[in-house]
Amino acid sequence: MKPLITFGFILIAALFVAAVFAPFIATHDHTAINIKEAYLPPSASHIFGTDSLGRDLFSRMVYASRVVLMTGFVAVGIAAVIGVVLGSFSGYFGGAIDSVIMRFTDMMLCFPVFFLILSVVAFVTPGILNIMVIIGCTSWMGIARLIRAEVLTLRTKDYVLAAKALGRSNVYIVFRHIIPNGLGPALVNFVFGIAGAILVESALSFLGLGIQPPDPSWGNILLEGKSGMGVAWWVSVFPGLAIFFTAFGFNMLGEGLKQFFNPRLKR
Amino acid sequence: MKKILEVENLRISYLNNGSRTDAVKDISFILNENEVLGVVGESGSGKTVTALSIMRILSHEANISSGRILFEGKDLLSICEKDMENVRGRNISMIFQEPFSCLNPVMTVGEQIGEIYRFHELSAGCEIKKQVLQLLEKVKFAMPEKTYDSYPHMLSGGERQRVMIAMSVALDPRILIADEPTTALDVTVQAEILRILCELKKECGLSMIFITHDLGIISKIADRVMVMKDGKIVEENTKSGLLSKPKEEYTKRLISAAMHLSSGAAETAGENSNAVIFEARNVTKSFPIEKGILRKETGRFYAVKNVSFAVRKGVTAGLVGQSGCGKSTLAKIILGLEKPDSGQILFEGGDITNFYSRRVRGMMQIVFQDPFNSLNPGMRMRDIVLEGTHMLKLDAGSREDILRDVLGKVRLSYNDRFKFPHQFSGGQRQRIAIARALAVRPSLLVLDEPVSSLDVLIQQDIIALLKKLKTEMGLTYLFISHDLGLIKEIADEVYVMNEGIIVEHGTVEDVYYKPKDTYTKKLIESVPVLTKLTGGK
Repeated sequence: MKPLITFGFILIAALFVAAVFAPFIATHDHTAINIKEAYLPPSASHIFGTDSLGRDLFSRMVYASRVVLMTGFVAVGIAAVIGVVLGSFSGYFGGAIDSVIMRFTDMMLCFPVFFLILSVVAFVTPGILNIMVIIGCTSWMGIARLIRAEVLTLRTKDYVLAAKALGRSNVYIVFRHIIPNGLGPALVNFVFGIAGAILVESALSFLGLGIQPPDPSWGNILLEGKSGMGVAWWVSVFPGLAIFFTAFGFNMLGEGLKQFFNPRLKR
Repeated sequence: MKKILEVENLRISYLNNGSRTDAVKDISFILNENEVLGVVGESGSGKTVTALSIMRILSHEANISSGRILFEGKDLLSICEKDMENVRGRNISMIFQEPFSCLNPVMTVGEQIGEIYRFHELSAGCEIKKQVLQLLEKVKFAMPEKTYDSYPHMLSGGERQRVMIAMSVALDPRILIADEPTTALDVTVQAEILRILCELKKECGLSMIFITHDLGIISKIADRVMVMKDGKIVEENTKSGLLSKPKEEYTKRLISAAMHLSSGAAETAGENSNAVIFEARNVTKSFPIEKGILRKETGRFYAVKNVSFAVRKGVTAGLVGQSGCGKSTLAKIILGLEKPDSGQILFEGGDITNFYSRRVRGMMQIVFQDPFNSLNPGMRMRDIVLEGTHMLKLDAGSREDILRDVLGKVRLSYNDRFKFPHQFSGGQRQRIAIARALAVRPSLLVLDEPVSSLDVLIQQDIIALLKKLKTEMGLTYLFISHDLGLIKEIADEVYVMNEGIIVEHGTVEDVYYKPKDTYTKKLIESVPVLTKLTGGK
C-alpha cells in the first residue's frame, strides 16, 4: 500500500505545482487560436498536440488544473462547513433539533445527486463559481452524518461535562471541544470528497453544463475532443488521463490520511 | 519443590516509531509446581508482556530478542507454532482482565466452552455437554444447565470471569496465568473469584502466575512474590518475607502506600462547623428501559432512589458503593449536569434544582476519574486550566496570576503551560484536572473516583495533595469511590450506596467497625486487607 500512497501524494503535489506556476509551465499562450496548426499530433513543439482551433493542448490543460483544484477545494469547503455545523449541532443537542436536521439530510440523500445538480444547473448560468456552490450544497450529507456520529461519542466525554460544570455555554462547547475533536476522522472524508467533486465538475463540463469555453477545464476539453476523436485521439486521451490520475491521487492521499488517523490499519 | 517453568534472561523489545525500546530487560525467574507466584508492579512495568510471551501471543510490534522459556525442559520459544498450539490450553492457559471482550457475544456459554473440547478432538458430542456442565459446577455456578444456554451479555462481570476460568481449566493445564483477573470487578465479586481460584489450585494441582497491582490480593493468594519495575525484577521473595522485611526501597514504598490506604485512619475534620453547605432532598433519577427496534419504553431503571444527604462545610464526605450503584449519576445531579426526576438540591440554603447560576456553578466543581478522558486532547494546559475563568471577567494579567497561583498549588510547573495533555503523565493530568476545578475558587469539590485509574504510588501522592489543598483553601469535599480503604483514609463521614439507595450513613469509625446494614458488612468483609506481618512464617 505504501508506494501507492506515495505515488498519489506525488501526483497531487505535481498538480499543485502545475496550478500555481501555470504561466511558467505552459509552453504557449493557452487561448491563442491558430487555425493553421489545428489538430497537430504531439511533437516537440506541442508536447500534447493541438486542438481543433490550433491551441496548444498542454498549456490549456495546465491552466485547467487551476479550475479543477479550485472547484475541488471550494466545493468541499462549502460542503464541509455545512456538514460540520449541521452534524455537530444535530449530535450535540439531540432531540427535536437532531430530528429536524437528520430528516432534512435524509431528504437530500433521497435525490440522485447528479440529477439534482443537473436540474439546478438548468436554472443558473453555468460558471466556475456557480458550479462550485452547487456541488458544495449537494454533497454535505455524508459529512454531516459522519460528524454527528462522532459527536454522539464526544458529547459524553468528561471534558465536555467539566466545561458545562464550569458554566460554559453550549455554543462555546460545540466550537471549542466538539468540532476540533470530531474533525480528524472527517478530514479523510474531505479528501475523498475532493476527488468526487472533481469528477462531478468534469462530468458537468463534458455535458456542456459546467465550465464554459474559453475557460479551459479538463471536462470541456474532453467534450471538444469527442467531435474530433477519429482524427485527433490526443485531444480526448490526455484530459481523460489527467482526470483519472487526479481522482486516483486524491483517493490515495485520503487512504494515507486514514491510516495516519487510525494506526490500526497500518500493516 | 520441583520447577515447572523457568524463564531465563528474557528480553522483549517493542518497535516504536522506528526505534526499539525494551519492555522487559533480561529477567529470569522460576515457577515451582503447585505454587502461586504473584507478580506486582505498576502499569508499564512489563508484567503483562512477560505473561503474553510465555503464551507466545505477543503482538506483531513486539519482539523477543533473547532468552529462553523452559516448560518441563522444553524451550517454548524455539518450538514450532503447531506444537505451541498444543501447549496453550493443555499445558499453560491464561485469563485476562476484561472477561467480556474475551467471550464471543453470539455464542452461548456452553457452546464456547464445548468448542475447546471439539477443537482438541477429545470427546464425542454427548460427552462434551456433560463435561461442560461439570466444569460450570466447578466454578460455582448454582444452575449449570441454565448458564450453559446463556449468552455472555446475560451474565454479570463476575459470572463472565468464572466462565473464562472454566474455559482456561477445561483441558487440565499445569499452569494458569491470571492477568489482573479481578481488577475490573467489584470487591465482593473479587473475593469470590479469588476463592474459586484457590480451590481450583488445590483440586487440580495448578501452578499459577498471578499478575496484579494490588498488594492486598497478593497477601491473600500468593506463595511467592516478584516485584517488577521498568521491565526489571526489583525484588523476589516469599510472601511473608516480602511483606515483613522488604529489601528494596521501591518495594518498601509500594507496601507503605498500600498499608496507608488500607489501614489509614481518618484525620479529624479541620473545621468542625455545623453549617450545611450542600443538601440533597429526596432526589430520584430514572432512565427509560427501551426494548425492540421501535424503542418502546417497557419500564424505568431507577439509578438514584429517594436519596437525601447533607454535606457540612469543611468536611470530607465519602460516598462509597460498587459499580452501577448510582454514585456517578448522583454526582452529575449534584452538579446540575443531569436533572433529577424529583427532589430538591440546596446549596448554601438556596434551592438550585432548576437553575444553576454561574455563581453557583463556580462554587462547586468536579474532578473525574479518568484524566485521559477529562482533558480535551487538542487544548494546551494553560487554556484547560483557565477554561472556567471566563465567568470571573478578568483582564489578561490577573488570569496569568491565577494560572501561576493554581499551578503552584497543585505542584505543576508554570513552564509547562503550553504543553498538550498527552505530554503529561497520568498523575500530572489529574493535577491539571484539579487545577482547572480550583481556578474558579470553588467551595465544594466533587471528586468522582479521582485516583482509581492511577498507580498506587501516584494515588497516594494525589490523596496527599487533596488533603493539603483542603486545609489551605478551606474546601469541602464529596469524595466518591468504590475503594473502601481510600474512603477510610480521607473521609470524615461515609455514605454507603447500593442500587440507588443510601443504605448506611455515619462516621468512618461507626461504618467500618460497627456496620449496621448487611450490605455494608458484606462490603467491608470482602476487602483484601494488607495486614502487617511480623516475622516470617
